[in-house]
Amino acid sequence: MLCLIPFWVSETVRTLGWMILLRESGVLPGILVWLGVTPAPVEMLYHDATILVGLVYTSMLFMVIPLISALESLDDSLIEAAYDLGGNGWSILRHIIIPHAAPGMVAGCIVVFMLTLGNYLTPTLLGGKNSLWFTEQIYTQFITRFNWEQGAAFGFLLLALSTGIVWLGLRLSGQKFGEVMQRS
Amino acid sequence: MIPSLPRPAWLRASTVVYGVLFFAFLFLPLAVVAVFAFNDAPYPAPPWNGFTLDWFLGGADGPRRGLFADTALLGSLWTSVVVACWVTLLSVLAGTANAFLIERTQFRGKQALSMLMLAPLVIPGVILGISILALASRVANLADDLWGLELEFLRPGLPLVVLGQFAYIASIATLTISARLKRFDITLEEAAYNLGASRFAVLTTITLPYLQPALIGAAAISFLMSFENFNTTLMLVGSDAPLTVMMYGRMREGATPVLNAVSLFLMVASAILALTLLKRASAPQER
Repeated sequence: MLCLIPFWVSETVRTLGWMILLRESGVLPGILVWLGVTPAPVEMLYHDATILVGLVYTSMLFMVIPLISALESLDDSLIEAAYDLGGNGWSILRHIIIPHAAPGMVAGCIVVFMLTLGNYLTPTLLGGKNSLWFTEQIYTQFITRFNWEQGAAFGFLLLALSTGIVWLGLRLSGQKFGEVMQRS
Repeated sequence: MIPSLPRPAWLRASTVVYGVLFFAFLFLPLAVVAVFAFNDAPYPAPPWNGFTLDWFLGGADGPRRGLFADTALLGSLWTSVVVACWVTLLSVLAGTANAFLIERTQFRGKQALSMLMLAPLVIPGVILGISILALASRVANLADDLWGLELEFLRPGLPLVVLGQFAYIASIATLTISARLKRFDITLEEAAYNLGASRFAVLTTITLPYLQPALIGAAAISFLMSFENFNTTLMLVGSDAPLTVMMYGRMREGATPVLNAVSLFLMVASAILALTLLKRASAPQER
């Protein structure tokens, strides 16, 4: 349970941590130079991969919690029985554990997907000016340019797209929205 | 891990390696933030110049304005606390009412309604923000045009921030409370009625004490969620910014270790809150 404490800390703080770690004068480039991997400090901030790391870090909690609760409800004796019946590690993972955890996985995926899509803070700070994150566009239209019509159109597009993708995911995995949300 | 099963050595080793890497990934950013709050340098970056408390205690007129002298930052902290208190209060009240509505009553369209209640949890926060902003401005303009009323609270500002955060935090509170209410043994209430208790007495002496852990949990989660919320808040914020928005602004301009100092403060506060909750949690926490 202790490993969940980082997730209680504000997203702003966590992003600040990554910024200090990765910026050109930051900790990780310094370590790389010290190790002799790179001759001069590399800018590790403001790449797409940086956004990815930051987003994974921010939204991991919403995957971990449904998965923990899904795996906790799996009876150990089922796995033991499967071994008794001659299953090996892979086949047990594939036929018992994954099907059992599937609703939890789907729930985690949906929540993480939506949160990531709607995230503003992490992409703007870690991605710098070159990242064209969609929520950033919406914000620009609404607040900076006062172009509410276009902003609303963008917002609606985002909502429609994300709802569509989630619906598709639910259909493909054969889960129901209500049940999935109860689990998360 | 199931003790009765044999586990090959490479599997155990790789589990340990994975665990170490994962924890490094998890705690490294936070550790770095905490450490550089004490660095004796104008930027939160290496090299390490020695230990200092300037970023906490530095005076307002010196070159280094510490956290406790930075009135803007402290003001935004206070704004955040006020907003979070309002959101918590409203969310727990509405969440309790919703939980009773969903668990105790039967009416047409209940399924649809409870489904609809979950929607704010998956709608991106930015969209929630702009839709509330757009609606509030429309209503305010309408009132202005029709009756010449200037409804100040519908313009971007703290009341709208509270409203926006409430819109989805209430759903979380409802989920937490109704999960507990679902396990409540209704015969306890019936017994109390049989013994001649009034509705009010039953509610205050039996149902609410039973719900208390969930109420506290919901309040803590609401407070934390509101305090940390950024996406929705950013769209609705007016002149006085809550802490997250303020920190965001400063991070864009170039961070000073004062931000690390605030962050350390936030980390400690949320860790304490989390630990007290975990200790209290005789009943498991549901999100």
